[in-house]
Amino acid sequence: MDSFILYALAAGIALALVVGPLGSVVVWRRMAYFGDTLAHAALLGVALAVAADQLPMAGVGLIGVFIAVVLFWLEKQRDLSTDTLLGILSHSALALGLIVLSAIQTQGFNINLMSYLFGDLLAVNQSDLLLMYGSVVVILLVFSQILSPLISMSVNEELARVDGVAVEKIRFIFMILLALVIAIALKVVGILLITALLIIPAATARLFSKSPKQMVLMSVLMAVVAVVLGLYSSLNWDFPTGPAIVVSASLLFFVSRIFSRTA
Amino acid sequence: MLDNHQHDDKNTETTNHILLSADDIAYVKRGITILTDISLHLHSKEIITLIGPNGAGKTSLIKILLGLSHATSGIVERREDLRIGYVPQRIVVPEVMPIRVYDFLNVTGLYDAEQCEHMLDEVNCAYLLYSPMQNISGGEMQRVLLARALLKKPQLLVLDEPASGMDIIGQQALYETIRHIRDKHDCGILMVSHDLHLVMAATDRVICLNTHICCTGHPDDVSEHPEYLKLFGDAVEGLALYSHHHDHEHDLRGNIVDSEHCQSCEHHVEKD
Repeated sequence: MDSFILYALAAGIALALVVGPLGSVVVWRRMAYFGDTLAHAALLGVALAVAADQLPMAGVGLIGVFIAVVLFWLEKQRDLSTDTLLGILSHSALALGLIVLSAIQTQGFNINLMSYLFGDLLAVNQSDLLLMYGSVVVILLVFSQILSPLISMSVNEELARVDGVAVEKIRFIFMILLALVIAIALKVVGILLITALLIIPAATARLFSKSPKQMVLMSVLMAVVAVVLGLYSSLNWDFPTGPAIVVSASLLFFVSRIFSRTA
Repeated sequence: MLDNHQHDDKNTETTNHILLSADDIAYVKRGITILTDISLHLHSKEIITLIGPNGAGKTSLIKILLGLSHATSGIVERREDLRIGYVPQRIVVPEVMPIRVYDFLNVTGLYDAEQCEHMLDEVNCAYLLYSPMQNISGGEMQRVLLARALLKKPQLLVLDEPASGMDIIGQQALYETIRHIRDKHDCGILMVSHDLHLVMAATDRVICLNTHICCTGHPDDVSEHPEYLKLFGDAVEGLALYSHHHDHEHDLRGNIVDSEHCQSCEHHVEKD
């Protein structure tokens, strides 16, 4: 097997390891729109990083953290609902990203927009992988520490609070983790399809899980299968890799729905 | 209006058993005064019932005492490291979360299945251990919430209308359970209830709330108190009628007969 295929596989599995667990919580806490907002803002991160001659992944991570901070601050004001706030943040960031992008393109920077929008898994190199797996380890370590309070909060925030869970703090940490996941996902599926990988494997796993922790593990499994299937079909039939992974995840979702209904 | 000092003798006697005290609490939300002039002490092993009409501020007061919301003015003091078990009115578990009663009880990972089952057994729900949370009934949910609160070995148990939405038999059974809990677990209990007469036997002290504390004391005294009668006078009459036809419970067992009979009762009340 060529090394670029192995690299692609390794990168896809790195992503699967984190989208499963974090995606489960996103599904429980109805944070899909937040994921979308981070993804839209990612374009701004890419543009700024390219302009500053830094790694796009770092730019995406930083912008994600910034969005999380702004959202956290806006949510405290309580006069607008979260989805309205996200709508504002999401589209402001996207529009700003497009402006910065066109500005740096006129400055002579060459940006392959398509590769950021839809991912470029087959172009992953060794240093990308190192950065990805480093982030995966950090994300999973932190996540394992906050999983119990996250489950507790997802069932009922007041009960969690009375039990001594620092709800705001945990929510903020989770947002930061999600921003990091978006940064990892950039190369694999691209900005437009990141949320899909958070939501779909977790939604599939719901069918096969009896407990929250089971759902977390099943989501990882579903995401790994989607990555392998997507990569395989991409190599065999020359499909674009990111979209192929997302379509594989959707196929798993629909097939398992149909089978569980008839079973 | 604040005559909760009538129990001063008891308070000084048990100062070192105070779990939680609130001093001159006021709570204003969007310009509306929800609570004012609230001072109270909760003692260990004491069952206090908070009663009051809808909108009296019962739930707001409980949330302030629990630390879930903050008073506009006044001080709430909790004993250091006070373990509080809280049973909310009801919770809705998101359908999208796969979670069994066991996972819910053991969300902190501190207990094993045996401990959880034992605690469920105490609230007569051991058979629910591995049921999905979404499949259990309202009455069962209250008991599961109670079991979850008790697993923490609380020094103070706070129940917000634990019997809401239950039929009268279920309510009586639940209050029975609550009374046993105090004796067995040695904890103070603060509960909110609409219905003084049902909780009377299980209560040491009643606080009658309507934005401020109208009256407080032993349930027998409070039920005679003019402030209480002003708030609940009509309801008390209605309740007398209700408990009257409850005497004939065995006659009402058949469902259809039951509802017809009730309708005629209501009709009778209207004539009065």
